[in-house]
Amino acid sequence: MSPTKSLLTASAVALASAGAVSAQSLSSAGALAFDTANTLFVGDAEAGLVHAFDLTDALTDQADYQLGRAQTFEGRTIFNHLDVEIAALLGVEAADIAINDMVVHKPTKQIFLSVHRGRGPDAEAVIIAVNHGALELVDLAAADHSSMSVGPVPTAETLEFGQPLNTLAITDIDYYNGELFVAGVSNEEFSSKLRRIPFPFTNEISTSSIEIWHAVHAQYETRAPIITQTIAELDGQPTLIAIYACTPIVRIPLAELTDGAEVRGTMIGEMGFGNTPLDIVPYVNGWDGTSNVVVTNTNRSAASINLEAIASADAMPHGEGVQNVFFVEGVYQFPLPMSGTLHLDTLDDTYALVVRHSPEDVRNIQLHTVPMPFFFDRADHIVEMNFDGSPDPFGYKAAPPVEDN
Amino acid sequence: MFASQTWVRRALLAAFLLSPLPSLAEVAARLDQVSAAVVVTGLAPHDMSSALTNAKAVRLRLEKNPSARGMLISLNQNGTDLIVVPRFALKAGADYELTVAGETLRVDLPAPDANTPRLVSFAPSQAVIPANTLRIYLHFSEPMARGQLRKMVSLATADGTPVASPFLTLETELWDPRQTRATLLLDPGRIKQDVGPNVELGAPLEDGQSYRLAVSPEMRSAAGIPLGQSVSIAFRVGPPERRATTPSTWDILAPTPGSRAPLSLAFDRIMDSGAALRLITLRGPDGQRIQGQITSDGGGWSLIPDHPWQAGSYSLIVDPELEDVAGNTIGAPFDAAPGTIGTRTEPVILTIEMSEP
Repeated sequence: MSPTKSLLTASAVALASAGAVSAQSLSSAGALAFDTANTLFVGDAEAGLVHAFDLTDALTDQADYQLGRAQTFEGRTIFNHLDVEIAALLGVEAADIAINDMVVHKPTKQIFLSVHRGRGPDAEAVIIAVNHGALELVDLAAADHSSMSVGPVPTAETLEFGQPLNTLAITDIDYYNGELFVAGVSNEEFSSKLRRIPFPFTNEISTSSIEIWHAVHAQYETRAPIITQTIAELDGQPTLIAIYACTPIVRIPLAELTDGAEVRGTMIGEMGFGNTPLDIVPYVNGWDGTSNVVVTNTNRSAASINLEAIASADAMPHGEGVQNVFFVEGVYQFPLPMSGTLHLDTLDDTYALVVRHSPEDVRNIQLHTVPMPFFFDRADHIVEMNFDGSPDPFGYKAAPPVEDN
Repeated sequence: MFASQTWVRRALLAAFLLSPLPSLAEVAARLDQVSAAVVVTGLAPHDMSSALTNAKAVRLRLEKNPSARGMLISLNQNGTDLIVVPRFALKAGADYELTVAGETLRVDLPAPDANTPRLVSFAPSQAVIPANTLRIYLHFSEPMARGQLRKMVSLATADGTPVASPFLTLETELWDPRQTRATLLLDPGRIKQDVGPNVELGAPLEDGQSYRLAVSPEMRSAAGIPLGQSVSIAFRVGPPERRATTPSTWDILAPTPGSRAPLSLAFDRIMDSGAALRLITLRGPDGQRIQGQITSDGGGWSLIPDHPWQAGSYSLIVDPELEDVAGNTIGAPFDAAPGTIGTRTEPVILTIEMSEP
């Protein structure tokens, strides 16, 4: 072998390893999800990728971290001014960061946040973990990593004609039984494509187009992007429960979502107008054992919907003579006393976790636990039993103050 | 006795105030532009070793952030200098303070060199647009900051009456990768016929009305520079467009072979200009994609080839996902009759013959 040749080989190896350990594997960090083990999925709209990071070595069990006192309807504020504190850690002002999503690793109850440092195209994407009430930067370079393309991928041919402007904003990622379900909104198309990807990634992706009925009259059917979704078993059948951009709730059996399929989702409810859904999260009501989903909204308080009701709901009425649907309709939606919510997940069977505007000062972004199943934190509300000298029928005031660890 | 005691006190005080305090006075911090690290000079050896053994006592923070929390740093020693390496680059134009060995030192960064952003164009730019227009693009001269569209962009009728929540409030704003083009989606719930919001609030745009889309002078570029002046885009609204797109009705102006004159299409309606650039392609007689300069204002599309046209048969390929400004595709209108959009659509191929005149 000539010396020149061996030198070339050496530099090629160096380049390859530099790429492998690059800390900047994330171009952007949006929607988050965990599988049932330790893999964190991160939606990266800028790169058109879903990343998978094995965080086995990074996770810390949080079982001994007190989350509140559900018996007396008390949650815990883990952070006040979460945006200011994360910004301080990153050396910028709160206005210079965006908290894009939040997810809980259920086995350890550890909280993860996707954050952008900066608001320009060169914003740095990071994942922040909460470890016993402390903020930590997750070292993604140390995690095993794989990724899968979901967005518009510039091919050699399209690149010849200049950098394309179209992107897919990934709005939600869900993991179910060895597969990822990725929803997104394109900046140039108004489509209803749902991407279904096996994990571990195999380079396979199946895309279904889901058409939905308009709520009223059903004289029209339409395309619209899914904003948030979850997968639950309804009558033993895995079913996608999706909420669209103008808030119809739609039910689609997973079995129908095959590659290239044109599916008509059954519209079973309407969340009301002038509103965009934020998150849909399944939970079990510990008091009555029922399975439900909770939906948070931009312009309405949250709502809980029972899964059996979703399973048995009739399609929204359509045909001649049906009255207009202006408001919340269809499957019964139980209103929850939770608004100003920015991100939602559950921590365990007893507590939900929110990033929210504080009810007392909307400028204060809190990381806060909320006791389930009512998603009700007594301290947030003006209730008679909180007043000095008022009756205390449930003995809340007799309980000693919660001492957070 | 009393007087002399006072004198002694004064002398001691003066000596204390005037005496040089070398170990404290010389400590200084500066940003090393090359390494982007903060170099602390003049630390006493014991301060250096205590800083290195107790890294938590060294804190670098942005002055403007009200939190006492320091940013992520690592520490190194270089001779007698302490090197504070921030995990993230310090922000240009910002003031930081470094606390080390009981002293607080300022590290000020020069302001960034950045251009004032401008709104350079918008689409659709036609004087009259359909009442059910779904999408508006704003093009800026500089990359813009995310997270401000809802506050900075507003819509009003010609007499100044604001249109209440005309845009879909998505958690994520829709930008191109460079963040110079923003996509505004007019609330589809208010565009679709007979959907709750449409019935209750009416469509955001009404046939026959004139509107102004205003962009606030406070809208900032990614570098933090505001537009400085408000920009207002006036347009009139015509009847809604609720038909599927039909490329066969487009007018095609074919150039003569041998020239590099543009091949032009005139649409029968306003198409989505962003999607038209990407989803309409031309293939030559040999089946290869024709390279050249493609432009579209939504009213038409043109291609100036890099090489002169050859005589022969060209194929204009229209992707089924191409939408007009109201979201109608080749397959179906945005509001489709039941059972009509669930069918797969192939690209539409228009054949263009180029022959000598």
